Parts: sequence; C-alpha cells; structure tokens
Amino acid sequence: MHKLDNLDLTAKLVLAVVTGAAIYLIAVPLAMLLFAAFRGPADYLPFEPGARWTLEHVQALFTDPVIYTRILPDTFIFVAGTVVVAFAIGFGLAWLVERTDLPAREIWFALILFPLLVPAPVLAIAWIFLMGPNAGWLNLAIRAALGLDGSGPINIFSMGGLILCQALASAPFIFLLLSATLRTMDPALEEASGASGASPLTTFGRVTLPVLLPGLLAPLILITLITAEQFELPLIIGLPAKINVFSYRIYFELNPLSSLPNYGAAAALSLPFVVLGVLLLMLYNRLIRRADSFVTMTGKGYRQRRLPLGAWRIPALALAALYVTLAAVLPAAVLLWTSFFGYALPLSATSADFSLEAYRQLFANRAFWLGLRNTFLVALASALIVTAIGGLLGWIISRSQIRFRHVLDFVSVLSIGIPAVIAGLGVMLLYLSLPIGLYGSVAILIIAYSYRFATTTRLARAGFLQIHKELEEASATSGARWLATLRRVLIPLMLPALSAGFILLFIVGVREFTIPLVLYSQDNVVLSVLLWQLFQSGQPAPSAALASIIVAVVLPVIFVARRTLARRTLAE
Amino acid sequence: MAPWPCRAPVIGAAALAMALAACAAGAQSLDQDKVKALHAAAKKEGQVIIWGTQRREVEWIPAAFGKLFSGIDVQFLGDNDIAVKAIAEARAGRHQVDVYQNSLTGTLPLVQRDLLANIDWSLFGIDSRNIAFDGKMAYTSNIVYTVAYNNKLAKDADAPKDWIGILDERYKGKGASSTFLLPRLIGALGLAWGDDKALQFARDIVAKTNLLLTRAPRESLLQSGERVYAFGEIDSLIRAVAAEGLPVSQVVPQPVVVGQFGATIMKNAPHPNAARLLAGFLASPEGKAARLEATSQADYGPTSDNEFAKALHSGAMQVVWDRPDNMAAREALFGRAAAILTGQSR
Repeated sequence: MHKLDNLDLTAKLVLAVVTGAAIYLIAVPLAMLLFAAFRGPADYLPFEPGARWTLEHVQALFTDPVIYTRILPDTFIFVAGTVVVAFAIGFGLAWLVERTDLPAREIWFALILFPLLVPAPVLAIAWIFLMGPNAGWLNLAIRAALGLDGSGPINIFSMGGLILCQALASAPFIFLLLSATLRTMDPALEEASGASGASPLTTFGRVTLPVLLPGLLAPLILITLITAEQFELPLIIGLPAKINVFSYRIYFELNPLSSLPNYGAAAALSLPFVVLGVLLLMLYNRLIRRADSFVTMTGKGYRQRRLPLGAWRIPALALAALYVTLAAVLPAAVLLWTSFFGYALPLSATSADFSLEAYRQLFANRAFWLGLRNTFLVALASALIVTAIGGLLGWIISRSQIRFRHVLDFVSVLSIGIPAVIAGLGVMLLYLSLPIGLYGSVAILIIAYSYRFATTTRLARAGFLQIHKELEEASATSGARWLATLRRVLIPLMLPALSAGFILLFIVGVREFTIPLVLYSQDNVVLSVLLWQLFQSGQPAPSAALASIIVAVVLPVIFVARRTLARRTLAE
Repeated sequence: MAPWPCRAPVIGAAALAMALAACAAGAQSLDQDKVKALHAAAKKEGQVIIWGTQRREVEWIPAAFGKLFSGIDVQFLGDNDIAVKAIAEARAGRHQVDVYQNSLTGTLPLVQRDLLANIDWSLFGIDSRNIAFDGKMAYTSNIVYTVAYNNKLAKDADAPKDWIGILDERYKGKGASSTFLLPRLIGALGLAWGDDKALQFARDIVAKTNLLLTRAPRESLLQSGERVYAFGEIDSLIRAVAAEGLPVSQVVPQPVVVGQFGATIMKNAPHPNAARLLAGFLASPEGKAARLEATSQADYGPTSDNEFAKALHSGAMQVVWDRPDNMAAREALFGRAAAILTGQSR
C-alpha cells in the first residue's frame, strides 16, 4: 500500500487535482441538496434575498401520511422486484455472452444494450403499444391465438408490468458491468475446482460466486439506487396504474403541474437517498473486507476458456432472443414503423401511408443539428472526465494509505444517492447564482453530467482488487516511476473495467434526459430533450424518427468500441 | 368528419373561412408607418426569441412572421416549464427571451415578479378588450377543453354530456387524460362548482374511473384503441390530428371551459423592437389567422367573429372563462387537484 510520503511529486499533483475535482463536482450538488432542504419559503431559491433557514420541508416530509401508506410501500416493491428481475436477466445474459460459446456474441452484446441507447420515455411508449391491456400488439396476438375475449392477458399498467418494463430497461446496466468482471476472470480457478471433483453447481457456489462477489456487489448497489431514482417509467407506466414511487414524488415537487417548483421539498425528499447510499456503502465495505480473497488476475498468464453449451445452446439462444425481442426488436420496430407511417397501424396501413416526411422535418430543424452536436460533445467529455477521475479515485481507495481515502470513497458513492433531477437542480442553483456565464451553455451540462464517479470508482476498485500488488511492486523495483507504472501496467490491465465504465457513461450521457431537462436553454439543447418536446407536442413521427436516428448513430459506436477494446486487450 | 358534434356549435370549415375573412378585413393593422418603422428598427436587431408552452404553438411562427416581416431571425423554444425557466434566468441576470407566450395562469408568476414590459398595443390595432395585466399581455388565442374519442369505437352520443358524466361506470377503463391538462380543467370547473365539489371530482376520478393519466400523446392511445376516450383535451389539437387522418372526434361537455393564451414581452428583452413587433403580430388579426391555419388554434374572444365564439358569448351556455382576476384561485385549486390525481395527497 502506498503512503503519501512515498509518492513522487507528479503522483501527488495528479492525485491532488483528482481529489479536488471529485470533491468539487460531487460536493456542489450535494451541498446544494442539503442547503436547499433547510431553506425556505417554498418558491425561494436558497441564495435569494428573503430566503431563511427552516425545517418546514423536513417536517412536511415526515408528517405526510401518503409517504408511509403509499409511496414507501410502492417504492420498496418496485425497487426490490426490479432489482431481482433485472439482476437475473443481466447476470444470465452476461454469463452467456462472456463465459460460454454462445454463437454471434458480438451481435448479442450490441442488441442487449439497446434499451440503454433509447431514452426511457420512448421505450415506455413502445411497450404500451406492445403490452397495453386493450390494444397492445402482443395482447392482440395472444388473444387471437388463444381465442380469448376482453382485455389482457398482459397488463402493463400494473406493478408486475412496471417491474417487468423497468427490469427490461435496467438489465443492460447489469449486463455491461458484469461483462467486464466475467471477461477478466481467470478460468483456472474453476478448472481446478472441476479437476478436484466438484460439480458445476458446487464450483459456481464455492468458487465462481465468491470470486465474483466484488464485481457483483457493485452492480447490485448501483442498480438498487438507480432503480430507486427512476421516474420515467414510473411516470408513464406506473402513474396510470396508481403506483406512486419516491422518485416521482421528488419529480412532482419540482414539476407540481401548477405553480413553481418547491426546491426545498424536493431536496428534503432526496435525503433518504443519501441515507440509503450510506447504508449500502457500509454493507459493501463489510462484504469486501477480505479483499485478497478475490484476486483472480495475477502476474501469471492465463488463457480464456469458454464453457461449451452443447445441448443447451438452443435454450440459451432462445433466452437471449426472448430478451432482445422484448427489449430491442419490438420497440425498435414500433419506433421505425412510427417514423415512417406515423399514426397508421400495421394492419390497416397501406403503401400510401409510407412517408419520409418525419425525417425531412427533422433534418430541416435547426435544433436537431444543434442537439446532435451538443449531445455527443457532452456525453464524450463527461465520460472522459468521470472515467479518468473515477479510475484514479479507485486507485487511491484500494491501493493507497492516504488518510482521506475513506472520505473519497464515501463522497464517490454518495453520487449514486443524488438523483439526476436533484444534481441538475443543484448545478442550476449554483450557476444561476454565480455570474460567470456558464448557465445556458454546453459547459454547464458537462459539469452537471460529471458527478457520477461511483460507477467508475466501483468498477476500478473491483478491478484493482483483482490485480495483485506484485505487478506494481515489480514495476517500481525495475525503476519505473508512479506515472509510468500507471500508464504501462495498471491502465492496460484495467482497460476492460475502465472501458466498460466509459461506454456506460457515454451511453448514459447520450440518453440522459433529466439533467438537461432541468438545465437546458436555447443554446444547449440535447437530443433527448428535443425528443421529449416533439413527443409531448403530439408529433410521434418526428420523435420516433429522432429516436431511430439516436439508435442508428450509437449502435455502431458500441460495436466499434468493443471490437477495438478487445483487440487492444489482446495485443497487450 | 365534422370536428364538432351537434351538442356544441359547429366550428368547421365555415368558421375557418370566416376567421380568414376576418384576417383579410383587418389586414391593414400591420400596414402602418409606425409598424414599418418598428420593423426597420427590428431588422437592425436581426433576431427575436420566443418561448411558448409547446413546440406546436411556436414552430409555425418563423415562417408566418417572415412572410410579413423579413430580415429577422426567429428562434423559439417550446416547453411546458417556460415560466420556471424564464423566472430562473431573470434571477440569474440572464436575459435571453424576448417574447413570452403562455396562458393567463402561466403568465401570472411573471407578472407577480414584474418581469414583463408594457406595450402600446394600439399600434397594432388591438382592441382593449383583448389586453390583460395592465397592458402587459395581448390575447392571441383560446383553447376549449373537450372529450375526444375514437370515432371508430364510439359515437358522438356515447360521449359524456357534462364533465361529471365521465365518472359513469361505462367509461371505466376506457379513458385517458393528460397529467398537465386535467388538473387545469378541474381548477376551472372549481370556479363554476366550488372548490369542494371540484376536489371531490378529482378524488372520484382516481377512485372510480381507472383513468390512464399520462403525459404521452392521448391521440395515439385513441388511435390504437388502447383507450376510447380522452378527457380534457384541447380542441385545436384534436382538430389538427383529425385533419392528419386520425379517427378522432370531440365533444364539448358542460360547462364549457375556455382557456386564454396571450403574448407578452420581457422587461429585459435583448431585442426590444423585434419583440414588440413579434408580439404585436401574434395578437393582430393577421397573426391570429396564421395561427389558426398552422395550428387550428382559434380566437374565441369578445372581438372574434367565428360562430363558436359568438355562441360562447351568447349566454346560451354555461362558460368558464379564464380571466386575470380568477387566475390565482384557479391556480391554487388545480395545484391541489394535481396532487390528488397523481396520488400525492388525498
């Protein structure tokens, strides 16, 4: 473990900058969150003249019976159900793609990520078209096939329907995060277990699962908190089903459908997220205390071996195909269809209904080109910033003995506890109050997006736990300085984990909706916001065309990124 | 397909023609020396930025405005939250928006914060009855709340005759509403019914109707057959999508609820001359005619001469009008209704 005194000047400078940037980028939204929770009256900004300290928001939160009788129970069921289903789907798919000889793995990899590419409101609408109880395409097909009358049998407007849809939407998060862990796992341990006579189930329970535990916990923590702050699907699918979750309540305080936002109430409501993050962090730290137990990548070479599926190949393919059909193919078909045929339904449409008008309108729209540029600029820049800072934070936390490393770990994981809507709000409040010209610019979006260190830090930390210290020691013994060791030893080995984090952040940046919705103005509009405007304005064809373009642009990025990274890893 | 049923006065092609005729009659309102001088000054500014509540309501403006007033680049933003954004920008000392177009309730917070400028609307020949907030706003158009339905799955006679009728058992599981519009409708109904009855109406909707309360376009749900009725729709939107070929019609239940929209300019508008010119255009007969043609949004105000406007003003039906003096009460009520409808309070 590195002590601060033992590090060279370059290392100290780099780590100081990283630490300062992390604290600034995370502490600002958090400070604004805490500050706003105790400032009032309701429609006052925290810094505004006339604002005062108050407990009214916290009191209102804890004395509201709706919170206890409705919102908390619904939230718990929604989050628990989604996490279980999404984790099962995501883990299963990641294992099939990364550890077995499933055919066409590159294609599955990209298709599985589809729900990550599409802004959630569009997916929700596509699923309503598919699973609406009265006229959903799937329900119509099932009723016709079984000779049933009435509505259903699938009812998307139910807790089960909401959980299913959210799990379909969230499973790619799990898949992407677990892929990196599964890809870098040394199969020698499993082989040794098998050679010792252990059954596959025993090997999985006693070897595979304990080895993967750090890599499993990070996505588990992440998906729990991400699910808890979801509001798009609860809004579109849950609200009509009378399902009322915590995140929607926060959204409601910021968008009360009537008067101005109640920033203080929204901030006060967000405090439980922070508490939840702290509790999960403590649980996580306890579970990974014996870090050395989980080292799976050493200085010794190993070869990748994939489990032959044999007779299970067809069921495995069917499982992957079922997910991809529900989460990607059918929603994409709905989007494409709507972009070309508008309101016309498949059974009644004729060739005369086909039109490219939606695309023509879109390409003639100045906001589209501005949004396209802004979207990629913000997603790329923020993903780079967070990957760089998060990776180094992971090193500080897992490799150094710097005194404040636990504080950094704590601050990093807190970023999960800040819902995007609150993070956007915090940044907005700050830069509305600071006359430095950032409000309304693309730069403010980059800053606002760049607070989610937890993903990269968790991934990096799990990755560092799998890299034995002997590699760094060998490099140092050979005369390499800290920066050289980082560049020539650690980064190449960490590439799968860091690239997974980068891809995830880039995709999240491309589809990010909440933060730009809070912060957008004339000049910094992004595609997701433009899509929402088109959608809400009752222009389904242009919004579907825009969604199709987003998918068409981002899908090749996934292929190229993964192939490039695979080659680089192989070359190293 | 007739856009309006017999239950309400018909406003179809004939009314549209009348509105356009009215435009021709008032076509000289923007053809005066003072307006020409204002145009010249606005051209020097080169640009004007307008914010409205929906893309549909503003995206037609650059082309229509450009036909009469060349040399001015019109940029727009369409979003339900423009009141919040405009107030936030003003607090930050950032002044980007010139013309602010919203409903009376959506404009009230800006009036209360003294963010809007006074305009001499007489320059554009605008009747004083179409001016509100002490000269800060001129009326541009109205909306009427309706019940829309899929006319392949239901008939005009099937639709509710009054708003309380949507609680009927036969509509259970068949209706959809906008989370944004329905509370506003209930707020307006409260002006006619009283607060208690309106709020109980909101509770009954939650308890009895299995309503699909959504921000998604309801016309898509109607067209697919997922829902048969959309309660609390906007007349112009339904007319527009019907014209695009959707199988939707609408009725106007009693009491008739009419919303009022208008144009204002910001006190710190970066392009003050262009802002005045655009706001004047939007409130002028020419602007109203262009809006009707582009968006189906009509003017039902006291100076309008279309048939439905005349019927509304005839006293033959109960009408709840948006007025500056009842906005605060309505806003407070629809805030409470929104909380009930979305499950945030009981």
